[in-house]
Amino acid sequence: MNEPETSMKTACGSPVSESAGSAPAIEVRNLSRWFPGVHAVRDISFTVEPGQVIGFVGANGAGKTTTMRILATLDHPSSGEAFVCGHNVVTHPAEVRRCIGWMPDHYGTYGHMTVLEYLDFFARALGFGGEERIERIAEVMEFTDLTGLADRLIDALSKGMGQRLCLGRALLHDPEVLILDEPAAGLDPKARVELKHLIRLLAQEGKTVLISSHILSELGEMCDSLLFINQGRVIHHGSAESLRRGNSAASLIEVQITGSVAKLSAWATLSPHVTFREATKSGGRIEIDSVEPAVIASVLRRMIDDGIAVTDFHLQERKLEDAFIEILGEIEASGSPFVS
Amino acid sequence: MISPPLTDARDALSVARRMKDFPSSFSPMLVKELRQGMRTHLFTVAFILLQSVMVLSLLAGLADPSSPAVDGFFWFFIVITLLIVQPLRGFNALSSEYLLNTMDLIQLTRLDSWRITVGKWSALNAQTLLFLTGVMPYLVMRYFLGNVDFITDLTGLLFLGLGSGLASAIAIGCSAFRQVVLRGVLLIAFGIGFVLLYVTIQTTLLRSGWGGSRLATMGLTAISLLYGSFFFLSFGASRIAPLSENHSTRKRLVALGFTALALGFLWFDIEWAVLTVVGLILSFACVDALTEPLPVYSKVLEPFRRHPLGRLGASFLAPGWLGGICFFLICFGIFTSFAWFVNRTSSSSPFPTGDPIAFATFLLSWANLFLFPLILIHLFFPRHASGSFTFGIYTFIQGCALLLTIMTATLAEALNRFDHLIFALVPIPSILLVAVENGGANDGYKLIYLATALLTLLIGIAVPLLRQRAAVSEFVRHLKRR
Repeated sequence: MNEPETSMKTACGSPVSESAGSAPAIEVRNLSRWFPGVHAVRDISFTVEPGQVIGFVGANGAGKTTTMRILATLDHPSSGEAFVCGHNVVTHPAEVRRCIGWMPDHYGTYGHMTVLEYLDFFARALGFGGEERIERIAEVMEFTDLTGLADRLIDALSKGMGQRLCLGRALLHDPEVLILDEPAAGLDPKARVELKHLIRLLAQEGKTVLISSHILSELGEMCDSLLFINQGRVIHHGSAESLRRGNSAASLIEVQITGSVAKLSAWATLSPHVTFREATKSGGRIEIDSVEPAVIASVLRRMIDDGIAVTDFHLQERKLEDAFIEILGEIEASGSPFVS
Repeated sequence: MISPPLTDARDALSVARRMKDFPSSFSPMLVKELRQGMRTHLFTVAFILLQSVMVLSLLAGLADPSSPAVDGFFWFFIVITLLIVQPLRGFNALSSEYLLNTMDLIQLTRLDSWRITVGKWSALNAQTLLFLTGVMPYLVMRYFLGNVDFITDLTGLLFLGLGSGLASAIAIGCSAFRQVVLRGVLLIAFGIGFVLLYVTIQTTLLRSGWGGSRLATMGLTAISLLYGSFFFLSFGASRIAPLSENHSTRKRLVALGFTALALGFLWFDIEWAVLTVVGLILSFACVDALTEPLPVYSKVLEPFRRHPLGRLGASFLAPGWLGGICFFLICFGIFTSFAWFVNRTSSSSPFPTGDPIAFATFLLSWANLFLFPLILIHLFFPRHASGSFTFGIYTFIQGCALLLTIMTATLAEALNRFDHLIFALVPIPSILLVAVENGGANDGYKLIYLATALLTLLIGIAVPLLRQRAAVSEFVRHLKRR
């Protein structure tokens, strides 16, 4: 299928606003939020640089939505501070609202309105008037591919179309930071791919995106880094790649060859930095005692030079889900709430 | 892969251009509500039904122009449409935004809670205006058929329109509560009050010609309707508002402004009507102020911090029940002074005249009526003393107290014992009020009543302050912070 050539170039402008200056897009300092009987968020701190896409991961009730609602000025912290585009969410909520686009985990639409009326209402409510309002609506409809659905009642939209509409609404005022709470929840695979694609486009435009999801593999593909939260505490902040690799200083490689597996085993035994781990149907797993890409590449080159007919050679990574579970396990074992 | 766009950029622009049916200067909420409201079956059905009934009544009028039944038929359906059907359409106005999960989304735009509420109310009134416009030709035709005073009819229609505005404001204000039962109870309670008020207006004003004081009473009625509409709209707005919005200061200043305006009608020699209206305005404002949550967003206090006079103003204008208590005391002072003045100058006083102790006990007991539920809330429901349930609990306690008062008074009447024994059994301010009104006690008991009333007032102020010391000191700290 063709990639859409739609973009938000005109609307989105530069990735970092002048008002934000050099301030991080999102900065959270020792943020806590408690409700009667519930400590939803406990002393969390993190920073998101402009243009980054950050995945916010955690089980239900971990504190993701509460944190996101505070960042969106819809709730207030019990202690600590949060800044979006350099503005304090408590003392300057209006400024924060101007630079964020918020997409909650629920639908948030009016069933008896058409797509066009819905976007028009929010464009008016955001203060757009006259031709500017028309242009904003047109750009958003074009970007989210809703033009053909403009006159359809929202009740008649599929979940995926509805999510695109919600994303369109969040983009109407061309925000610098997007806060998306479980945007892919309940979407079918096709709608999920479409949404992922739109988020990728927004990231290319330089938008900062904070996105929460249960589906870690999807976040891994989209995000520059992942923020794990558990029982109101941030337990890990790092890239998806580092998570997949884990803390290990070695790389596990899956190798497929033509010919005898014993040949691969013998070669590995004689080669420096390489250990043969186990045999598979048409090859085996070897461990290289480095994570440096250059070292891994040199091993592959040597293998070919030594006459092994390699048909597949790839780094075996942990699944993000496994990484998450492992981190939780480490926390339980250590008794400390933090993992470096 | 994402599906290719069905249309190009020019198409999107031409599609978007269709959204020019309402000018950009219109309130976004009004536009949205009109688009949604006009599409509902209820509006269409009500409009067609009203038109049909108008045609029928006109035809019946042709047959017998002087029939009061035809006249009653004509007005009955207009009243039903304007005072019941239209306001009831606002029953879910604000709560539906929560139900649809759209309230958060709207609050992230430039619309504050006041604009959201007023937008919904304006949309309902715009549709009421359509109904009124639809009725106008029939009003004119009735005039030509004879036996109809056009000016009276027109005035009636005008007041129906104003009444519909107030009734809609009540429904929309109450719709801020998400609990259907509470919403329903409030709507019924306010609805009954509204009907009583409206019937009084209809019977005493519109049926009995024109005159200087009657015109003034109509002006006073208009003031009541306007304040009522404002009150219920701001009541709803402040209930849905995030903590960062301050609606309290405006609400309280407007109440004081309307009080001053109402006091201006003293020139027209209708002091009892003025006293009633002032009493109503201040009562509504005080109940609202006393049940506001205290945890105050520090940013809201910023304007008060800038100037020493601002800090003084914060003591009664800042959001929350703490400022509400001070506001209540000021209102009580205003009302007491005014009542004392009226009591001295008027010959037909409803107060216990000629007895300063009874007069003081009477006024203090009225004040205690407002504070009494607050004592119970802070003593027995401290967790709900400063939240969204406070108003509901307050109303519930007042309702129970009213019921208890009626039962006790009935019992006292049956036993023919309007004395301290009966009232000592039910120690609530309203019972004391009944005791003072009936004047059955001797001088010794009158002093005990006065002391009880005074003590209750002091307890009413002290209990919330002591029970919520932490919140109070936090509030004061925020106010003093530079």
